[in-house]
Amino acid sequence: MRLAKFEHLAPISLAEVCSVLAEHGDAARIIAGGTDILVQMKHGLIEPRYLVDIKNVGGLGAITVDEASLRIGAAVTLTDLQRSREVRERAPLLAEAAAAVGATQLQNMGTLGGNICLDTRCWYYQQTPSWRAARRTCLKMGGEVCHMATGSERCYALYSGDTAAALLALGASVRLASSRGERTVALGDFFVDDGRNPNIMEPDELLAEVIVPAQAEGQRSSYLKFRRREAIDFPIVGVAALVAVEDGVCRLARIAVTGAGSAPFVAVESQKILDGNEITEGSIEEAAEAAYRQAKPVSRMEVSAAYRKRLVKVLVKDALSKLG
Amino acid sequence: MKQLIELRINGIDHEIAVEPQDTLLEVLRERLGYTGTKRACDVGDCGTCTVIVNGRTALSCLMLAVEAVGKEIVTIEGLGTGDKLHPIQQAFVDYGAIQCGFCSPGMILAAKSLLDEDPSPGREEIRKAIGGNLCRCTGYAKIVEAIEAAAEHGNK
Repeated sequence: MRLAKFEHLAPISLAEVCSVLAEHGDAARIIAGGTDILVQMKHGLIEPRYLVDIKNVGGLGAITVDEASLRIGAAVTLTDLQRSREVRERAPLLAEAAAAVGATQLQNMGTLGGNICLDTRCWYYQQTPSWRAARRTCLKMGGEVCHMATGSERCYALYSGDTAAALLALGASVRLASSRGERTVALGDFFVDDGRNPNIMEPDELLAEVIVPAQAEGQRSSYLKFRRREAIDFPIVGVAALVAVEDGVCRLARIAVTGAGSAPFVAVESQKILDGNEITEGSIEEAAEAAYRQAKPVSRMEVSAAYRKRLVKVLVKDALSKLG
Repeated sequence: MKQLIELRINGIDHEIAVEPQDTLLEVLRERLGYTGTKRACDVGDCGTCTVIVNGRTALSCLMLAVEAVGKEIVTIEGLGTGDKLHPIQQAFVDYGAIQCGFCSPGMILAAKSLLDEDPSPGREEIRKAIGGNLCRCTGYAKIVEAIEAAAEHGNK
């Protein structure tokens, strides 16, 4: 699959990136590791006239410690992230999720920013032009039908980023930069449950940095990823859990799920069931059941929507049993 | 619009005119003759296009040629010579880790990248290192054994 023509720009400062994005808007896209965007471009799904390469932009590849949090540049590769001593010590949940992404080559190339901004996927979308031409244009392509959920008025393409689950559980935020200024948004407010526009970013914005609160002493964590094969695959469902138990009572429970909708979500009801209560087989079952009820996957990619929903319950239960 | 770039492949500098949309894989195979690097899925799902970039494995089908400027690229042609195989290649031969051979260049480079960093990896590290390389013939067992053997003999 040959890529369509484009211009490759390689700015060295954040200001330059913002200015280029302001000038070209939707005709420009960011390229970091390229493991998502080049695949989209090879399928002819997007044809940006400009690719703005952020790998040489000062500051985007750094990890700094800031009182009780970590500031991670969006262009830090997933390999560097999982190997970073600061990340392993202060946010092991994030290191674990980064190590679960794809495979070694994809972690070497892929970045944290790119993994957060991973485009949503669907069997009817990630296809070549000739394949898609045999069907009516789908909602995500700007058409009027959904082939996955016939009759639907919204797109149900699936979000399958791994690090998002860990970052949601950790209460992370993202710093978005543009020529209009900067804004820091809690990750929970960043994602949108819409397969067509899965996050709040504007065309002239860059995700520059991720701010991650450090895991406190006693906060144990686990990222469980269920996929067909042990490498390469996206999660069918991924669950990140962060739990602190003191004297048998749960002081903190943060649970986030990816792969079960057009946006990753925080299992708020499950958290309410556990916060301040004892972690027992009973409360774990209740919390897992609450997550099951909250999950509303429509996609039947790889597994049926019902199976995917059941997986949410199983993984939440497994994670809590492991940490409780 | 073509731009003149310099790519360093297996220690040799190549000056070549490329377009921004030319992938490293296309340039390696079609322009520079390094056909040991293979194209199969072309979308980063199989690993046959694996090369080593500054010591770490990367998928050349998802790299633009212009992104490879200033980096040390190693392809399978950079291992061994016509007369003497690289120890990892020899181990693959000795342990029956090659059937059709299509995954082999990528597998061997994945192994090399691992052993250059960790000379005595455990099974799990080996499996993780080759996790991004698919093989439809061997079932992976002999590939893992060959890499273990190559590590054991102290050869990288």
